[in-house]
Amino acid sequence: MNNPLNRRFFRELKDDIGKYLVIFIFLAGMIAIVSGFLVAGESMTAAYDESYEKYNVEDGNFVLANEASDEDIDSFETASQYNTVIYPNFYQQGEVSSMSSRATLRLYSDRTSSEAMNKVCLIEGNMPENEDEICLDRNFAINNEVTIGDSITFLGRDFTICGYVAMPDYCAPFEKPNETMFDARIFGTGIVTQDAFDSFDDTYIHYQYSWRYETTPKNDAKAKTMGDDYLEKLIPIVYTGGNSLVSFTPDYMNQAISFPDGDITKDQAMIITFMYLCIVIMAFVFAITANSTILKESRVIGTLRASGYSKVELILHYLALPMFVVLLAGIVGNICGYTVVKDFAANMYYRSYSLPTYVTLWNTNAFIKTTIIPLVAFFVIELVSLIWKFRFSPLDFLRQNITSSKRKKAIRLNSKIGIQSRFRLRVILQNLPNYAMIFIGVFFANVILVFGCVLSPMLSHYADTITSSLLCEHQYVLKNQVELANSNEGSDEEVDAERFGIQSLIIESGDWKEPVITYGIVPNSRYIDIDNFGTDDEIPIVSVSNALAEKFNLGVGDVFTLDEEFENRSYEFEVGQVIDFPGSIAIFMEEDAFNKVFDLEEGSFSGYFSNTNLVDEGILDESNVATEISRDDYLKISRQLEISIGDLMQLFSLFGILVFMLIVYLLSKIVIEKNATSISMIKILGYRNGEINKIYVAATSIIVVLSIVITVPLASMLMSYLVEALFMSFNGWIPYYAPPLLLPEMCGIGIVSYAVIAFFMTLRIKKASLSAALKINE
Amino acid sequence: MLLEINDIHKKFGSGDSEVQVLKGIDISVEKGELTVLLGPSGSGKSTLLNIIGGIDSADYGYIAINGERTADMSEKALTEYRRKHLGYIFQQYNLIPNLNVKENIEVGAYLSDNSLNVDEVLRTLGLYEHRHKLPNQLSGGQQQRTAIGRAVVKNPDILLCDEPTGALDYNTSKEILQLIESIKTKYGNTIIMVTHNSAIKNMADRVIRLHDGKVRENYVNTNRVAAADLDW
Ligand SMILES: Nc1ncnc2c1ncn2[C@@H]1O[C@H](COP(=O)(O)OP(=O)(O)OP(=O)(O)O)[C@@H](O)[C@H]1O
Ligand SMILES: [Mg+2]
Repeated sequence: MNNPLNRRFFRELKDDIGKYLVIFIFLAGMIAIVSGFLVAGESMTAAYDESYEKYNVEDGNFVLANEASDEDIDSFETASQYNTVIYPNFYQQGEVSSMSSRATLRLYSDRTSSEAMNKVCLIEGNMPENEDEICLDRNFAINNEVTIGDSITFLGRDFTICGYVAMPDYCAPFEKPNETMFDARIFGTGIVTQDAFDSFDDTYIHYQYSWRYETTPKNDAKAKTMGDDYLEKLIPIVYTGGNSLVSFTPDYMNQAISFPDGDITKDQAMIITFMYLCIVIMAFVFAITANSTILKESRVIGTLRASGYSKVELILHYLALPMFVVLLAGIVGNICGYTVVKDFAANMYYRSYSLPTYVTLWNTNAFIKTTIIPLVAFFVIELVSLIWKFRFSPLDFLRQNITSSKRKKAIRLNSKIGIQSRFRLRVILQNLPNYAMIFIGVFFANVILVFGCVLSPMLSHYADTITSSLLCEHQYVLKNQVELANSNEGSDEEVDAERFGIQSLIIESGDWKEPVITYGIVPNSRYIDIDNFGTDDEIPIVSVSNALAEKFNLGVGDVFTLDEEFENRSYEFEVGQVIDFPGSIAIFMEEDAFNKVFDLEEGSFSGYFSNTNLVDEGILDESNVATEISRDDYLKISRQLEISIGDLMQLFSLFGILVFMLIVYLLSKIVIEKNATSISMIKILGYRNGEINKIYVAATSIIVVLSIVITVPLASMLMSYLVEALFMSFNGWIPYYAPPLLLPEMCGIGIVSYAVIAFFMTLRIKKASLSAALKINE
Repeated sequence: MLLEINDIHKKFGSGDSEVQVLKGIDISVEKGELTVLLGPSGSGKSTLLNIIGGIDSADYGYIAINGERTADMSEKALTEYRRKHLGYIFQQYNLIPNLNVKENIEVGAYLSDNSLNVDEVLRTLGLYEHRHKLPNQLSGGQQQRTAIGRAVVKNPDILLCDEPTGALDYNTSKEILQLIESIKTKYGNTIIMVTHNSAIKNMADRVIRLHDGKVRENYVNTNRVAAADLDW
């Protein structure tokens, strides 16, 4: 026969609608967010993986100083034991002069031939057909506020934008493959027809060659062996032909190709961490609500057990409703995840990266992680806590004697304390487990909240420190050593410029490799103040930027090794001084020491520091400049981070507040419910609502406020470790920074959210029925 | 006249399930009187007591204490009324489970401007050596005595007792009754006590019998018996 207890379900749901609604929203929200991001991420990763074949993506590219002959290309293809196919992917690079701000465009031909590598994906509009048409990378166009139909001027020629494209070799617009960060506003790519491309002269051309191996490397390790071998074999051929190698970039090292994939993977890892955090919180909530339900129903259970209902029947009964809510949340969460949230996540990625279009894929992995695992986990938790509670005898249930047995002995409180305070203290003591949960829950919620709130101020703080500690406004790296136009006339004072030497080396830490800029600085530099450690030491003593020191844990006296990227040379340095230069991972030496270390002639240099724009002023000819490092370059990392995870952070902050309110609401509600009889009892006795609030709501308030005040700094501390760990997988370094007002602000947010809950609690107390105390046993 | 109960009507439910529980109750109780309210189960005794106590409201009629009508009082004023004038003893004790015996009584004392000495009440009730125990460590009689303590420590004008001995054995019941009697003599409180045990009516100053929602009997008991001499 149908269990008559089942008729209680609807009533229980109605009575406890607040609790179940909150659990439902939280769970459905969590599942929606996590599954949405996982589905979007994996669908896009799949599209990205597929693009390798679909768009014939290169396994690597190298740039030569001069165009290679056909014979040379033939020997390039067979140079290594790993045979390659070479496709010339020349580009023109220069400034687009007609847009709102300065931007560099790298222009390729349309890559439409069948053997072309890195074929483009048209996102919107048409491919160029006429010589005056151009397709731009979609994000480049959007960031520079130009649209299809607009005209732009590039290297003195006018083009009309006819479409937006995504180029598989520039998913992330890195100008140089090992740059710290990219900026889709400053640098972008585009394509024109082959005829249009050929009609440019050779002034701004770069001879880039893409290659594909005959057999694709299975993983990065294999790709590295193959790439190393290829480079070794390639160099002699290039140089004997009188040419020289400008760059060599196998796929696995090319951030322009691999960065988005890495970023999506990182985001997914972050989302999954976040999900586990949520599951832990929910597990707490479930264990507690299960307990409180049983406590509330204690007499009912006692009576039912005494009259012959079996434990199993009752456990199943109390299991059914929460499981129903969880299941419903799973369904609704997945539906929202696959629709709204997935689109949100995909848009987020499209805003940062130029990825090919994707198809939504059913993601079993995500379903298991977001839905099956939590459902099973909650089922087990609920079941275990029920079984645990049902160990008590029917009589214990009848006597409501089902809390842990060790607190049988009543704690004595000094009767000098007023009865109101003692009462409140008793409430706190009675609810210690609940309050412990509130503490833990508030802690978790604050971690999520700090996570969401700290990033933005941290990035702008970083931007401020960079700006204030910039060496100079312009750093010019030269193609060849040139004197400045009027520095020859002996009036050195006139020109605001100073020469420097620069080399790029690599630092390795575990699996992590990162470029270190090495500067040679003239004595008594006007731009940077470093100590002169002389040139006599076996291991050169250098000044390191605090970014380098903090990221790689270096202190004065430590010795570290830097490698050259393409050649197998290593250099050892000793830290002599840590200087305040957060902008880049860099080391500094006096010019003499620098030239000695790198075997350069005395007095050689490779660039200029200046606070004036030497090119605009005509002091330095543009053709001599290889690169200019400006303020923007230092800010790329923070700007890009803001773009790529800013949205996620907002989501986190919102969710943090939600989690906070959920936990505090549920748990403080439990405290009130547990004491419903006592509350209506003392109400009957004549206690005023205010007095009752002072006992029950105040007890919870004290704990919540204490939890907030204690856990906000704790969460911030935890966050500083997490952020440091996060930056170990990024080039560059942003120190953790919580603005002085952030912590008080977060406490404020917490307390205000709690005030809302407390208000509802006082309403509840106000409305508590007087007859509850009288009717309970009838 | 202290307490005036005037033409109280009360029904529960509506439509088919409507039950008219009280059909016009008129009683007046003098200060310092012990009134015993008798009647069969379901006759509306607890309902009447709840209305007197301001926990429930009447559909019609009014309760006046020293001429002040409870129905005219706001929620807040009702609280103050209970706080100042009433002591309530329930059949189910309704002690606060996380406070010990003494603290449960102190909760009552806190409310009153002229409360009795808590330790004295504890001694009178024979609870002094149990004062640090929690309610679930007490016997039923001890719990009931604590509940009485909580009510009388306020030294209320009116003490409402709903079957204070309902769940107790003969000896304990008699002890409780003696206690209530002694409190009355000592402090002169007005007491209304609901019971279904008609033997108890012998200790009352006034006996009222409800039946079918109406007052069937209302008389002053002229040959009062001390609680100690009751027998059933
Ligand atoms: N909240 C309520 N809703 C509906 N009916 C009620 C309610 N409270 C009491 N009643 C009904 O009112 C009637 C009187 O109840 P009351 O509790 O006053 O009886 P009583 O005289 O105290 O009985 P007992 O001696 O058994 O305690 C009963 O028939 C009961 O079913
Ligand atoms: Mg009754």
